[in-house]
Amino acid sequence: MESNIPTKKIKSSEDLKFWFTSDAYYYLTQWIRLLSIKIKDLKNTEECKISDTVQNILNILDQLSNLIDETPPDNQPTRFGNKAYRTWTNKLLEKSEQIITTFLPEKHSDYNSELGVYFLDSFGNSRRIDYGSGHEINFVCFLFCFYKLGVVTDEDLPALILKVFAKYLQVARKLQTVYNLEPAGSHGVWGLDDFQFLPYYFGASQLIGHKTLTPSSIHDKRLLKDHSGEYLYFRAIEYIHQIKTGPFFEHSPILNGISNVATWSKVNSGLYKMYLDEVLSKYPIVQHCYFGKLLPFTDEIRKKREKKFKESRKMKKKITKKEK
Amino acid sequence: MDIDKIIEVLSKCQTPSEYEIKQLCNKAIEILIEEANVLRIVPPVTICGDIHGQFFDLVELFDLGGSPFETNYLFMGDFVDRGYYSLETFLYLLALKVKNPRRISLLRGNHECRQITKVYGFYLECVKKYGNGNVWRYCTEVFDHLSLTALIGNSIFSVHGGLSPSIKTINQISLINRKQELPHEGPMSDMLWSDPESIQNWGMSPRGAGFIFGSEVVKNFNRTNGLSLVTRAHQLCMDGFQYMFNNSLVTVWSAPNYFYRSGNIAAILEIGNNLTRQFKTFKAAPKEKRIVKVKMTIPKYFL
Repeated sequence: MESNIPTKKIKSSEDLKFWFTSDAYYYLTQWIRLLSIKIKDLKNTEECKISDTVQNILNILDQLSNLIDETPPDNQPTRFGNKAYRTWTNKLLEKSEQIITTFLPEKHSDYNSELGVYFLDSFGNSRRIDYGSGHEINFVCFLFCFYKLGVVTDEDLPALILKVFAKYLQVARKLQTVYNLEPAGSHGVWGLDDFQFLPYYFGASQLIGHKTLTPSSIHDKRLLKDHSGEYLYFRAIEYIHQIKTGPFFEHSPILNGISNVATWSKVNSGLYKMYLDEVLSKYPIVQHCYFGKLLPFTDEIRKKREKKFKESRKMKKKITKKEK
Repeated sequence: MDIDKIIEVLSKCQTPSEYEIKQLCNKAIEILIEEANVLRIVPPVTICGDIHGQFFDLVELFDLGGSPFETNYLFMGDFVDRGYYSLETFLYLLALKVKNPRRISLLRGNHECRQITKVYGFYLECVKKYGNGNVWRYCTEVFDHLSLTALIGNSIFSVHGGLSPSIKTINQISLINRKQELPHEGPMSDMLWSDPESIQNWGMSPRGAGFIFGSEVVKNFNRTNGLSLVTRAHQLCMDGFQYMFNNSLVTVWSAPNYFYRSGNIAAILEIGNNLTRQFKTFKAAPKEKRIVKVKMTIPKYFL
């Protein structure tokens, strides 16, 4: 099977409507739910099975982090973000061909370039020197591709979040702070977070059964510090404190509101609904999503479902007729 | 309608009644509908960039630039979204406009439209404060009537975003039918979405709307139209403002400490009688001047 280079497909409100019924939408939403389930009650420090594929991604992320150290911010006049970020991106692009060939085993190597598109757009936009939830989606799509091809299985999923996604966040945050990246498409005080969303969703799942930490525990600076290494949610809140000024209730009112929710389970399920509504339904974000062979902009699943539904209705009618 | 009472209420960052807002918006439309796509402004005038609902920082802006009852102001759009007080901010400026239409000039930004405000906070804010979407509807109708550009003293051109490949002369702007929801493409969209970039000509914009344009484009536009400067907003500036292309274009940004993390200062550009230019900068309002009416509400997804 030959792979397609993924392209952007959502260009109008009709496309947006189609997106909700598409196979890609189905795969992506089920994927993030599955990941959330697989890390329930697990700390970042949990011992996980780490396959060669997973280890390779971790190594690549380490490389990217080192690349930041090798590309310090410069003193060029700038509107806002540091232009050395463009240098970092160019260096990444130079290495990209070599990196991309290592993603998949030989039998799936045709798909390397498809994964490459998602991977390379996971770290921000070099023209605008910004980063946002759209880049985070790309990284999650990148991980999905491994699963779709069967190169990564259910056993690997905890490592994908607790080790790989956690490390991805480290790299993303390092880029944001070192190069002063602008939040791309942030909703300001009306959004969850300027840069990320999924660390909160996955992070809440990690805490579902926790005996002592509750959603309101995020207000305790000591607890934040003690647990930020173990839990994505706490690390995300700690990071906000590191980069924002002023009282938490003022700069992060949504997260502040969520701290009043009774259980992590409710936080987790609420964040899923919010993600679908506030991220995956918004044209300004999804207009930048890529669709290829692995996350296709087709609606085969919906068609199959409708066909099954029609067939089962026919059967029911037949049975009712017979009974009469 | 008692415009002075409405201004008084808004100046304290409080909101008038839904009925008063409807009256204010209707009156504003009567005024805006008569304005051209290119406002002709006689200097002196103080040019301001994005505000994004940062009401208390707007107060700092007026403290620095002078009372809006005595000083001429031109705001280049993006009054709403992202901040707490988009409604108070926009309505305050609108009320000042209604009170003294020749003194206050308001341009449309890319956030002054239905599609964007439904995503970036203004709609949510209206529903939160009034329980329904009526005031949002009244405001978005006003957005449709906001002018697109300004020409100050025949020499300084102001627009929210930037230039359009479809617009070579300022006269062409007059042909646009602006009284509509912001289209996804075309000259009206371009002028509110485009960004200058260190290239020579035109390029695709990573925003997904508008274009990026370079030094030759600005040089030609300024020469063709007899301009000395293009002023625009639309992009965050660490220092509040940034010149490009040999000082022939400047970005002015008026929302300090954007996102509570940017640490940026904000700026206004004072154009004097003889078209002299002076930038003034300001920081975010100090804590004691900011009121945050916080309700510990749990977002609807978690109920």
